[in-house]
Amino acid sequence: MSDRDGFEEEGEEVDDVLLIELRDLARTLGPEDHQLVAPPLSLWDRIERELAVPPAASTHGWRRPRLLLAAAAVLAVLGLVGAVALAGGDGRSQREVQQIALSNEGLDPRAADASGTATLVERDGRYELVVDLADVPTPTDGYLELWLIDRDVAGMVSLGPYRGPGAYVVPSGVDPGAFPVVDVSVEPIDGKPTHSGVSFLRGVLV
Amino acid sequence: MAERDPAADAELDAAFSQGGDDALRLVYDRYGALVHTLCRRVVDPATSADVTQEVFVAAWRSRSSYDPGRGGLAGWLATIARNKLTDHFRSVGRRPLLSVSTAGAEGPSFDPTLDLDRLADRLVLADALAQLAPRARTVVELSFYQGLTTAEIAERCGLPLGTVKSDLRRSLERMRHHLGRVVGGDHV
Repeated sequence: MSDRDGFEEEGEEVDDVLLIELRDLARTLGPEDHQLVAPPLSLWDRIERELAVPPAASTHGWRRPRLLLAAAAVLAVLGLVGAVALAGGDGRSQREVQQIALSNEGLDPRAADASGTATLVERDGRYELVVDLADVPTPTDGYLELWLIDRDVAGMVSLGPYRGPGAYVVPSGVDPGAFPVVDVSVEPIDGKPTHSGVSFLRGVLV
Repeated sequence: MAERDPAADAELDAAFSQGGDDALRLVYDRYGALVHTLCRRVVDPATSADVTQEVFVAAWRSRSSYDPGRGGLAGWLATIARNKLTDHFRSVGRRPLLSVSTAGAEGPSFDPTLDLDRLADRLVLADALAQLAPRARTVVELSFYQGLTTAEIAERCGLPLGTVKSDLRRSLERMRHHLGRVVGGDHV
């Protein structure tokens, strides 16, 4: 039989203390200690999904192009909304699809210190966007509004005024994969339902 | 259990510590059953799956703190599992139900760590024994279970004394490394 390590060290003595310690441990082994129980087949998927969701604290490495530039970038990278994480536990069907960081980079400098996260959650077959913003200045002449914007920047869906940290329902029938840009705008009180074009924070679901 | 190239575990340890592509998957394939078995010996199937998931997620997130020079992944993962299980027992306020009784387990105080340590050591050692090449394993078993000296093993197996000594010495060292935490001082 070949020596699997490829070399011999003849003459070296065995460490008796180590030998006794391991021997005594080995003598306590029962047949059950040699019988491994494989984890459930689905467990690897669970691990992968949990690790696919960036930690909430992560605000680095995310590109926040300006709205028009975002179109090209999103076109380039958009596939299906892929990352999936089980987040339930209260008996309801809840699936955390993705969490992203929101950033002011390249946007209105009045909110330069602002940051936030948006988490897309599928709950009982419907989508919600859980939004949590920090250090966002309160507009003196308007209010904050949440939007999902499409890859061509041609269409957008309002999730309504930002009322504080919490879940914002994505209107039924709206596919978040088709409106991947999460946007927080400042809306003047002018009665117009369209996007003002002034944004404080943005992130892209991919 | 299939015999493995002894160098494979060391390569896996190194790949994991460097966070290489697929490293976690390979580590999970190699040690998922070991970690899960440790859990299944003391908690129910659903909790076992949850804790096993926690172990590999935590391992990956803290991979930079793993030092392959100090011990193998088996012992390191077993230590994480032990800690997660201890957390679990603390949170539910009860001790683990071990299928094999161990000294000191009967006391009234809540201290699952001793039992879990012992159980983790046994499973990791069993894994290490299973990885030994056939000749080395025979030498180790004759030494451990029959108490033969290296000279007696050499005579019994018709091997040169030096070969028996080097087989035994290197096998012991490999097992110590595999266990990492336990033998020869507290490594974690």
